[in-house]
Amino acid sequence: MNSLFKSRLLIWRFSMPEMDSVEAGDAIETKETKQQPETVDKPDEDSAEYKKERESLISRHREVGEKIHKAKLKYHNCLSLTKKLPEGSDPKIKAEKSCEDAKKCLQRIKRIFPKKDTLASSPTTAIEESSKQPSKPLDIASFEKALTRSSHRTDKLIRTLNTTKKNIAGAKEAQDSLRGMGLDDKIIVSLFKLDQGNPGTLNGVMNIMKTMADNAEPASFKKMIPWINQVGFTQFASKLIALKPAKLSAAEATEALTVDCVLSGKLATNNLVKYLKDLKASNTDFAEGINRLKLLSSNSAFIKDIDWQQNLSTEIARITYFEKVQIQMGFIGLNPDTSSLRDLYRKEPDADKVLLYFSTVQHLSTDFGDLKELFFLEPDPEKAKEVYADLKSKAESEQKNVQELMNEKEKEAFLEKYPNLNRYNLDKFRLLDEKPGLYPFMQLQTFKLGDSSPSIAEYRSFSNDPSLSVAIAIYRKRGGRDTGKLTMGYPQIEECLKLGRTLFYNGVDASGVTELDVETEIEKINRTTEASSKLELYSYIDENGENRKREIVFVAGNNGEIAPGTVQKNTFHSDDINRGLIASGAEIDASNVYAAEDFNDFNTNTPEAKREKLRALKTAILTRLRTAKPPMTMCFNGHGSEKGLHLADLTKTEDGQHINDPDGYISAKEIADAILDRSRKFSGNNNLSKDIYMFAACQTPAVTMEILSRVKVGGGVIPTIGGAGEYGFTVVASDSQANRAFQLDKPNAKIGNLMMADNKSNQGTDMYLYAPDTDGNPVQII
Amino acid sequence: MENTNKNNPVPNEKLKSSLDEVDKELKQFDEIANTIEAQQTLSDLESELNKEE
Repeated sequence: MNSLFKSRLLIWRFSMPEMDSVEAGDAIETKETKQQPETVDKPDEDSAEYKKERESLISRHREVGEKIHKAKLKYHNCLSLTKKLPEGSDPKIKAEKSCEDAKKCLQRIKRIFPKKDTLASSPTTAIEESSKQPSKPLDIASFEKALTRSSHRTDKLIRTLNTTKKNIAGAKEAQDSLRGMGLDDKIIVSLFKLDQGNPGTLNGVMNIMKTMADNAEPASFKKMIPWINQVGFTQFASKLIALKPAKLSAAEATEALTVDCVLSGKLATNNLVKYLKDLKASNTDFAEGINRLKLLSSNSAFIKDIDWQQNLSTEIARITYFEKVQIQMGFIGLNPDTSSLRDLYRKEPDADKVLLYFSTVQHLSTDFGDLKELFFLEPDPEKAKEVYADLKSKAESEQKNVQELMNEKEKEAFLEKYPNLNRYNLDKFRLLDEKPGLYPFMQLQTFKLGDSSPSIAEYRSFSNDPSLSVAIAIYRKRGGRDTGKLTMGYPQIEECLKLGRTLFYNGVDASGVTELDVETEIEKINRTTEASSKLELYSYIDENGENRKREIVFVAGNNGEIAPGTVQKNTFHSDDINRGLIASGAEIDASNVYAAEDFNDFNTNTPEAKREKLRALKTAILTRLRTAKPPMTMCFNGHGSEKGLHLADLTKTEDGQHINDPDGYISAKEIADAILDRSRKFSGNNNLSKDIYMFAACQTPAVTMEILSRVKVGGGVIPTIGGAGEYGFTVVASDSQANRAFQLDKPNAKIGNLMMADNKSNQGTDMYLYAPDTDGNPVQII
Repeated sequence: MENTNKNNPVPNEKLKSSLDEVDKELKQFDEIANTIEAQQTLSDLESELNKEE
């Protein structure tokens, strides 16, 4: 019996345990064949008549074989029917008797039915056939060949199943699943065909594979793995390997499984984890398996499936924590998702300890701000402190790097400082409930801010961005899911935001996204980004190819009132900023700096005197904006609000709240009017579209949008314009923000430098920038 | 030589008679199988009757 038939036989045995194993036409030794007498009246085998009759009989043999096959199916069906009959009932007793009779009938058939190799036309052929039946392990090549040469069609299979009253719905489901795994129809049909003892379900196909695995020798089993992977059975492969650890060394199994993980993602990861758990239970080579996991994880950058990464990291912690296996999450570089941790917390008795481990390794050692998550899990502040002490102890004993953070007193102070962390988190999650689809964008916000996680006010401000609804629609259209986990990388989420804002300010709302080819639109943004990246902030190339200095308009607001008699500290126009601008190539002196902070007497003046000074300053700034020769760069450093760029607050209410006075700020309309005037004055000047406006101030996105809108409606030339703080991000009044926004101390600073500065986590804010595309429409490039 | 004997081709006549015999057994099998299916039908009917009662 050749190996193909052997494999089919094994499957049959698995599928129909009630019956003696037999396959139609299979080679089973029988008394009849043994007792076959030597041919006394040997017919003339060479005669045409004999050959014709032989052909006819062989054909009939095949037909009868098929009938036997169907009879076996029918028998199997009868057994099932009988089992379902009421216990002890008359029909059941009769049916069981009939089943016995049917079984005997099939056994008689098995004895009578001539074996296939006795159909051979000559003894020589028979010997050749016989020599192909060594008692050897599963031959993968033959099996593969058998699978691929099947000429049956799926439809025929379904019809066959129909006639045998099997589970058609299950068959279709299994067929779809197998197709989804990339399996060729022929192979699918072959698998069904081979498993007709249990047809129509995915489990049936699994049974085939299990049977193969059960009967394969270790060497053959190893050979099966790459083959199974190759044809798309990755998920099955991992299950099989998990079932058969004894047949592979830990290293071999993990090797196969890691390949499997890369190919089939999350599901396979679970299998890998299961296998590692088995190894752990059997105390064999666990360390080797863990090493493999580490290797896989550390090289996981190429794996796009964040969901999978998080799953993997969570599982690693689950299985390793109590074993004290030295996996350092920092080394692995994965960021476990807090929602999955919460799930663990809810579902598993030991989850809190796992969470401690996560917090220790991930957050305490790298990101102190995320302690908030820990407090979300521990409502009692006193207990939370104990937990923290425990964490610290663990961190010190296992990770050794917590010392770099802060001393004990500072940590205590930190905890005292945030008494309402639970409330904070509850608010955060309530916000998520209010605005479905916000989660990935809030995560991006957290990512950008890093240690200084967003306050609830910042979250709310962020969620107030009117273009977010468009970004959410884009995220969903790109396949993102509304879950408590990230289903897309940060760069992709940021692309959704950029396109969302661009579309929104060009008049497209969320419903318009359905008609868009999102990827093409993102490609357009990327093209504008690429083109804009080379634009220099403080210089330009003139028509003769020479590098020239831009016109600079540097505006600094006043950093609020100070007590009489104290010295005004120049926050927005410090010496460092001045030097930094010059080092970056800006031509700057007293003639192009407009700083309200330079009014030494400003804070001691009467309100009316202040108003006069500010009016004069604003007029001078706007005049300069109108007349500066293109390309011009305007830098604003100061406080901002939705109303505009603040030069200073003029008055306060009785309870000390600031009131925005029009004389105290430059409004979006005033800047837009200046740009429109420039557009008319310098009409036809190609450098006009190279103008740059950078605002290192809070709440400027709304100002920027109004400017762009007014310029567009007025038919002006759209400049490159942006700021240090996107929606939902405050901008701290410090040199570092000006550093980033104006790229101080960067010789020949370009827009590209701004992009690089923005493309980082833990930056404390998020910059934004719009640039004109080739049609002159604003596109968000940062 | 054992192999040779063991795998001698079945003569046409023997093959034909064996196939006839198998066909006969298959018919008998079908009859038995039908009685099993009939028992199922009978049981279903009884069950329905019981429900109605």
